[in-house]
Amino acid sequence: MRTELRNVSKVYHFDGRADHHDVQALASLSLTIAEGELACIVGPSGCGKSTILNLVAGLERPTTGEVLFGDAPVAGPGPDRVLVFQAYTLFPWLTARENIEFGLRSLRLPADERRRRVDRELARVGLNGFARAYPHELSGGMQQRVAIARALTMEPRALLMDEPFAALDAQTRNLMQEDLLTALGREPKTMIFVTHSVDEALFLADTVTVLSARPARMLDHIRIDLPRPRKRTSRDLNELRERILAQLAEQVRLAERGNVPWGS
Amino acid sequence: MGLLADTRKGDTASTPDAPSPRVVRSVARLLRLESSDVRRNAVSAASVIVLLVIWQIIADLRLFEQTLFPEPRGIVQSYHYWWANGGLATGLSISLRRMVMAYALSLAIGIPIGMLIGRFPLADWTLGTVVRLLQPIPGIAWVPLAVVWFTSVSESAKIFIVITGGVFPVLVSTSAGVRTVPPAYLRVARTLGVRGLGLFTWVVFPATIPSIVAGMRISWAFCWRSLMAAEIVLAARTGPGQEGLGGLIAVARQLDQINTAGMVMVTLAAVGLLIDGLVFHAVERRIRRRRGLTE
Ligand SMILES: Nc1ncnc2c1ncn2[C@@H]1O[C@H](COP(=O)(O)OP(=O)(O)OP(=O)(O)O)[C@@H](O)[C@H]1O
Ligand SMILES: [Mg+2]
Repeated sequence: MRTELRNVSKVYHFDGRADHHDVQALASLSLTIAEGELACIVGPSGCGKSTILNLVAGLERPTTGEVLFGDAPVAGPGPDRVLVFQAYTLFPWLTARENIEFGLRSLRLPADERRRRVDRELARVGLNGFARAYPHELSGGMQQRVAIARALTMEPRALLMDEPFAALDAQTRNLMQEDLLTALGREPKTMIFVTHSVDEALFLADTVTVLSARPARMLDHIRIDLPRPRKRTSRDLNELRERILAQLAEQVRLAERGNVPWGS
Repeated sequence: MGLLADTRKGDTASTPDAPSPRVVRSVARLLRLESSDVRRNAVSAASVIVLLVIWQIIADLRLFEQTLFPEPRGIVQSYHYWWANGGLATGLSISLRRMVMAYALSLAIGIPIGMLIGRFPLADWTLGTVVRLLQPIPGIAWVPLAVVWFTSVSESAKIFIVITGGVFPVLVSTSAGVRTVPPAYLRVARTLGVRGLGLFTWVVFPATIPSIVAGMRISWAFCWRSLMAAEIVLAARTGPGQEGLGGLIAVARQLDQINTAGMVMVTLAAVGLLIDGLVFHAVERRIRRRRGLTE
């Protein structure tokens, strides 16, 4: 399924506050992600990356413009586009298994099909032995594995990842990236992966989209055709890394000088 | 030879005047009061005993007239008396039956209304306003209305009064809990395709359970208070214990049996402590453990 943002802008209103002002998170942004593509989006903090995912997930509505999934405009959340959040968002009253099974209740599947899917996802993220553990008994990395399994068990057409590994240490993060690619290796799935980390984007992506400071504009769109698994320090990736880091640094510098308006 | 033996003794620290490290350690552990439950309960029990002894000593000083000041020994005699004629057992069982009934109704009314008020602004502005108006009225102030509506000898009148005391804490606690459900949980559920009533039953309700249990705990205590008020004021039937524990207090007042009043008060405290400790404390701890809210 193709995902497309057409001239999308998004304004957040802070109502009910004395110093209320509106925030323009996106201004007329257009972006297309092809079917089966692993698209990474990088950009300075607060530029509107999460907003993009929330729009595609149907949790937010665009102020103007259109968000399309396939050929139809996104009308609301749906199990065909599942969002994985940055912070740990497992339900603390459910075990790992019950968390993974959570969304299946809304699909009204028979019990044995539910069990089959949950077992499959537990195995896929390597948590067979922790099915009965409660979230607080799991490490941060394990919790994010459960969150990813909880999304995959819905068999969505697109997986939307909002900095899912941001809270993990560097080694765990690398491992999770490798595992994610292995886990998905056999079924190419559309994935929109937002990250702060240029390294992460270069390691994972088919395409990297670089966004400007808020309101986000597309600064660069890079297709990476290198085979996986990639060597993180290969010459090609190093060159791309320098290019993207320079673009991002420029954005931060502009923002510091006040050339980029922070409220409009 | 002797020197050698002595040294060995000293090493293993088994002489009576040099306590073994293990004893030292366990004494040290006993003195660190914060740890185990056993120790905590032992210290609590000891403090109650000390209280009783001081109480008896003051009573024995005869500073007050005996008929005005209940004393432990007299209360024990009252227990004998009311146990023998069955009044205590009857009173306790009648009061507990009313409690269970009124408490269950309080929860059945309070929890759903609390959830509605917490979740929907419109319910808050309407129902919530009514709740905020009625909440400050103590159970005892409802007595005249209860008498007219249900007649004073009826069970319904007393149960109604207990509900007026018990319904609000759990209601308010529930609505506060619903308001503080992390929005992230709702977003997760929605992106997983859960909508409408499912959000309520699978996310809002389980997320609110700790607040509901905290409210249930307070409601239980409030039900006891209102029940005593109702039973004392509306004591109608005669016969030992026929009007519940509150009825016994009413009898004690009429007959100037100050120790009977003391006995009922001790009983109330004991039952309250027992239920709170055995049921609520245990349930709360279990929930906290499971959700990783303990240290
Ligand atoms: N629900 C909201 N209400 C009001 N303002 C919001 C809301 N969500 C986001 N914003 C604002 O919109 C802008 C973009 O937010 P967004 O979360 O999309 O940024 P981001 O690129 O994901 O940032 P980060 O990298 O720090 O996660 C920010 O200035 C933020 O303050
Ligand atoms: Mg974000």
